[in-house]
Amino acid sequence: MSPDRLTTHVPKPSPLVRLSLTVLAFIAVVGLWALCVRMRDGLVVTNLGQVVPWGVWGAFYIYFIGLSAGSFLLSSLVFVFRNEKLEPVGRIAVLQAFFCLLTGLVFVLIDLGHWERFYYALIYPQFKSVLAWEIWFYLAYVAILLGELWLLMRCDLSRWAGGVGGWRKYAYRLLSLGFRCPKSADEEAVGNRRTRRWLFILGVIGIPVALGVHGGTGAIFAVVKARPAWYSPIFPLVFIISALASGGGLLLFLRALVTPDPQRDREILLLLARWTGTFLLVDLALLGLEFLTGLYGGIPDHVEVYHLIAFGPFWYIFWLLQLGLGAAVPLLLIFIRTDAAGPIRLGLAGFLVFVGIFGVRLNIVIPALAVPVFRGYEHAFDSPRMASLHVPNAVEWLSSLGIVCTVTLVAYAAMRLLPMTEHQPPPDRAVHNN
Amino acid sequence: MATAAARRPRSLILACGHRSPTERSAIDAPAADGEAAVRLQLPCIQLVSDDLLLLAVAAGAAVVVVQPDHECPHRPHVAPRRAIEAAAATLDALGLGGWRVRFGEGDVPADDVPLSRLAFSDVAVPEVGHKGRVERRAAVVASLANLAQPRGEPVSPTVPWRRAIVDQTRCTLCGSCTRGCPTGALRLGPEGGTLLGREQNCIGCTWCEHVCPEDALTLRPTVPVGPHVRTIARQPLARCVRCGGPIGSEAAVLRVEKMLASRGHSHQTTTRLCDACKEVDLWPQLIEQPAALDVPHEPTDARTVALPIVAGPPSGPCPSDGEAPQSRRGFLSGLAATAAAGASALVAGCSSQEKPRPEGGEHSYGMVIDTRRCVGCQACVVACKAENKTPPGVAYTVVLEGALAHRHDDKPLFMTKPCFHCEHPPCVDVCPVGATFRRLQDGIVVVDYDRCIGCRYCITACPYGARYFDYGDNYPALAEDTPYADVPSPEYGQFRQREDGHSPIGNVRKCTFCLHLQDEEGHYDQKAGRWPACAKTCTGHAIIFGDVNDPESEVSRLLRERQCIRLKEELGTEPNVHYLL
Repeated sequence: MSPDRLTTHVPKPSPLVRLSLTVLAFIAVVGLWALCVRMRDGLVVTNLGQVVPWGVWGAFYIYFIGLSAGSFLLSSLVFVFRNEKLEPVGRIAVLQAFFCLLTGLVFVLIDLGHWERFYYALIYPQFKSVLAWEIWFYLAYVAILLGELWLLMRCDLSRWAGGVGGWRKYAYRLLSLGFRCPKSADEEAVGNRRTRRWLFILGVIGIPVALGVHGGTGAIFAVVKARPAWYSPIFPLVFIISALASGGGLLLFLRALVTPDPQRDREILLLLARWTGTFLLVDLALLGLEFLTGLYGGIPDHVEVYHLIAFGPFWYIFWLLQLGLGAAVPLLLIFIRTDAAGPIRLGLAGFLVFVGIFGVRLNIVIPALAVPVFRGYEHAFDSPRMASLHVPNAVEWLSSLGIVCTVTLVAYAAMRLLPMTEHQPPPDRAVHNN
Repeated sequence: MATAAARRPRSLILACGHRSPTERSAIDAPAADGEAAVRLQLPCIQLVSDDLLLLAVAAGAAVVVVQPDHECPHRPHVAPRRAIEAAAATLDALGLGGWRVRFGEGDVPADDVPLSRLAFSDVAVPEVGHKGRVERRAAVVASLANLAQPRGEPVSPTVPWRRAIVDQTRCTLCGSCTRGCPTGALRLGPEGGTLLGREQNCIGCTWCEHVCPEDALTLRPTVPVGPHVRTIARQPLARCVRCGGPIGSEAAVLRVEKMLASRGHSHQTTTRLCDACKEVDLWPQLIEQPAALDVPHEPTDARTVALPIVAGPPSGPCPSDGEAPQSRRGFLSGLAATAAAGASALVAGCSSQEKPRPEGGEHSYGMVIDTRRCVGCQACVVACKAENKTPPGVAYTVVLEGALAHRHDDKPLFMTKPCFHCEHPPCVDVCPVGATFRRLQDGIVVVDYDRCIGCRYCITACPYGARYFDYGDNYPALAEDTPYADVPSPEYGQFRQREDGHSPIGNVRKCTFCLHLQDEEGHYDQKAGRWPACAKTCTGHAIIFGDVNDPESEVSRLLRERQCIRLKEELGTEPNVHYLL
């Protein structure tokens, strides 16, 4: 660990950041009100129906699970594959994986008709269902993430618990689970080695779990033989690759946003950007494969899904969000004239990638459902619930935004209040580098 | 009457009963030439048929006139005119003067026809029309044979009867002619060693002559004499080498063996076995060793060898899971067998012999939906709503009208679509909490409302759109708190009241075949009205519900006798709802 990193920390929020946080808080409040409406009245307040029973919440669910798995897999580059260059983003990646997973699970929760029975999946598991397996994967994954976070931060937390007063003292002590950091440098070095070994073990266990988490999420769709556009063995792979791309994009964005030293961190940002760009390219290739085989096969229901994606009423999600802003622009930003790439440019690329992947998620969930299982099924009887064109309503969008903004604020607070780098001083004692 | 008896009437007038009662009572009215004519008034002139006319001539009538009424609503009387043409052609062919039967709307013309051979009074003409067609035809045949035989002239080819002449050296008694004969004039004898003919039944269609693969059969015009059965061909019988039972004519077996020999199959054991012995001897070998066909087998007692073939569900011509070699179950059991082989050859050996068999209980309820009978009235949809009290946006059965696009005709196809209650329901497999399952006792796929968490995964997994989520919408009757609001839904016999936040709101719902109408033993009773609402209400009897395990049920009979289809068969879901197109 180089000494100049020892004091790296999250800087004080700038006015722009404060304004952004205020806006986020406002959206969060409005969104949480919408969420309360949903919780009070049930799913009747949504525009979901019988033809399209999963909507934007389903898309957010797989999106955040993907972000989480992608972030975790990138963190394993540090903890398992010992990539020294990416070490400064290790903690952010794990923390990001944790919050994204929580967000994804919240989206599952609010999508349930009887959310109060969510624990039935644990006490009455039906293991022929991929979803039942997934719940257990998520649990194992949460345990691994929490374990890693504790291992990563326990020393700093215990040190901070001794350095601050008030409620934070107790909070830090609680979070460190009573761990006491060795006083002497030698003992600490021994402890660090032990910590690294445990991180390695957890990372090794975590990699297949994370692959199972998101590959399994892909398998939720891939096993549905009723939907030709989902029923593809490539789906779990697509989910994992796009998870890596989106996780890399988010990490890139966050790191660029909070980077204390543009010059020094440029190397990390470039590395992250190249990883992200490469995953994005592979993701595009897989998308092309899917379209190629689907269109070549020419199964009407399958082709109709692609037709709906590319030329349906929401064509712009595919062309503009998924392919334009989400792929073409970031690829140009990352791979064209890399020498001149600064944090803003790379951060923007990361932002576009992880936002663009949301378009991918929307186009996975909704169009495949919007093609009814029988021709004319949507006109079988007259009801708005039978509409094949699903447009999420304000409650769905606002509650989604509310959850995302709330979690963003919580994650921001966590990043400010937790030691995101080794030997970082507590926030109120922070001094700017250089 | 004494006058009438002395001068026998020579003309018969078959008149239309449409006339006034006074005219209808006119019997023995004088003909134009002063001779007595019998006038019969039929209830309708449309009843006149060719054999009735022939019978009248055979009974002694010199002339038969069919006389319709001017005001008859059935004009232009196509059927009687055709009957007259047919009878005239037959009489002409017999050399009896076809002109003796004619159509007349005016007066009856005089003629000088010789007296008939039979006394008119010998045959009770008015009664003939009331007898069955077979008896009537027998009477015509007997009478006409009497008329034709004394002349000794060759029968004209225009008569409708043919005598089959068979070349014994060629005929193998394959039975092609008998299978095609529309009237049963040709039959194979009891053990297949004879070909029998009943010329009286022949209608001269010449099918048998055309289909005979040996060109052994030729037809000759004839007038049959009485209802006799002739033996047309006889061949020695071949017998099963195992049990001695008849297996057809020796000539047919020889012919098959000759064909096999020409294709390089010299082994002839199988051709000399009856069907039962073939199954007993061959199938076990084929299952164990596909190449066993050419291996001579030791004689065994047919009665002691059990058939290992598992009977599929009684789904008629539809393929069953037990017989599908590429089913998932088969594949998985194959995998299991392969894995077990690594551990134990014995286990592997046993596993590979296992034949898959679908789980089944006492009942297996299903439907046959005859789309030709469906008029798209949606009565089933409404009945289902009323029975199950489903909320807006939930309909356990729907009628699709656009399922088949680009049809070449303008006929609409209405497809009633309840839940198909599949043998292998994909919705059940995906449920993370096991809230939906297929009942073992009757195969009905149900949802446990108290277990379902409302994730809707099953809706996406159902290939048939049979599942609906209860979002909590209500008809205004509930909001307005009308008496309807107090009526509980009888589903699953649970009689739940609809309340916000409580099941079934927030659950996935589906057709249950109205299982709340079952009695305690799981039986429905159609006569008592305890029958699925859609099937009970269907105006065109297009939805036929029943137990496919019961061979006497209408569903089983339709599955046996008709060609049914199941939707999306390629998905391996094995639906229990079948369609007749």
